[in-house]
Amino acid sequence: MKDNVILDRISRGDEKALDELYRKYYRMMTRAIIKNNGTEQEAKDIYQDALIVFWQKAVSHQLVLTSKISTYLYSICLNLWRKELDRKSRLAHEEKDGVDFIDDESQERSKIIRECIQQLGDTCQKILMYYYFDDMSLQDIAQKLGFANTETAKTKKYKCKKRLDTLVKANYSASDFLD
Amino acid sequence: MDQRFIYSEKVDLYLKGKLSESDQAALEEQIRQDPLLQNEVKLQQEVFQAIGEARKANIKARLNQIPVEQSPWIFGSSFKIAAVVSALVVTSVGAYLALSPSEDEVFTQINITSSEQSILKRQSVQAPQPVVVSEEIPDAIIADPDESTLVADARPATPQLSSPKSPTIRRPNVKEDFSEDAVQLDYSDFVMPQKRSLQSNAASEANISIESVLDKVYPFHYQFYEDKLFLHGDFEQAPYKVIALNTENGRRLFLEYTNNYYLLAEKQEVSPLILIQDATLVKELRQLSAAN
Repeated sequence: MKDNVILDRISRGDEKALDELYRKYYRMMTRAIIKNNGTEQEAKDIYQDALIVFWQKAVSHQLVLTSKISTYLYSICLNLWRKELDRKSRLAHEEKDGVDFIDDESQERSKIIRECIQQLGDTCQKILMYYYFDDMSLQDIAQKLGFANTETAKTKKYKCKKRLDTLVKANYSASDFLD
Repeated sequence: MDQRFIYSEKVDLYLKGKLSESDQAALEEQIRQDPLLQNEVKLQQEVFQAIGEARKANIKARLNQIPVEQSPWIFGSSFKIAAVVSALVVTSVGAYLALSPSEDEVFTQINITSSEQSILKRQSVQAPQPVVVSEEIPDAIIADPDESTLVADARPATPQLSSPKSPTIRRPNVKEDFSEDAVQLDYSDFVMPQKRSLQSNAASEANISIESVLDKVYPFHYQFYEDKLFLHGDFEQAPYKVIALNTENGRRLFLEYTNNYYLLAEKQEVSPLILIQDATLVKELRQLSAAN
């Protein structure tokens, strides 16, 4: 499958095209990380993260490719791996006093929200993810999820967000994290 | 916290980074002045982040279901060593095949010198020194290590062929004024070279004459002299052997003694035997030694 076909399919939110892209460059990209002192698991994580960046940019129509997809992915992989190495290096030298508490609290809140997301229906989850993370247009969301039109997508998005916010606020109130 | 649902398209766009600069500045000012709005934006940030994490997990779970070809590098350093050794064997075998003469070539070469001597037999043929001037005598041909030379024990090895360099065979020049009377063949110091097994070319016990010398001045030293290896010191305690490793940079010789390995630089000075500490190299040598 040629680059322009892959990009076209992905920009329309075709996740199967992402699967094919993943398989196509798996060995090439993971080998680059492994050769730079990464483990197989780290290499896999970094490559998946790079693909997610690619997916986000393509599906939100923000990607203008000036090179081959493989070259682009390769540069994202190396950048992400460099950041990861920096992070690991910082962690190794960092004084952890005071940091753990903040991280724990933040993680706990994140966990509550994720649980609330799980309580939503499948369609609601998808709409919110497509809209807030993938940054897909309401038109593309309507098309992908088979809604009659963009307006339907907009209404559903509003309702799903309302449901999630309500759940989160109820759960936040039940905890002692916020006043 | 305000429990009501406060939906703001503007906050959505702000968190997506899609507000214009002026709108963004205005909203930030509003956030600074309104603690309720501040809390709401903070919450929305966390919701954004959690949705992102959930989506990433969702995509990763999907990708993890896809069968992929594993990278060969996962097998770690031992795999790399094996790969390097394999490549070395292939290279060496290729070089051997390219450079070494077949038996026919050897005999052809010798037959030129012996064509006038019908009594010469293949097994005992020797370039007659008084008559034939060879640019490179065939002592460079690597002899096939037999049982006695493969496991060099404490006994001094019988001097046979010189170091097994890569063979370079040239036709000997035959003197024009050749006369039968002048042919005085002397086969005493010549061993008929035989074709060496292919596998032994990459790494093998070298067919090198070795002599151990009881030397109190240099108790654990070695030297090469006239293509013969002299081991200085008491080497009677355990068997030793020399392993030749043919690399792209040429042949490297190693002495195996009491399960340790020492590099043998082919130089004439008496030099101390220095233990090889590199664990990878030792492991490789041990494997190669065991394989031969």
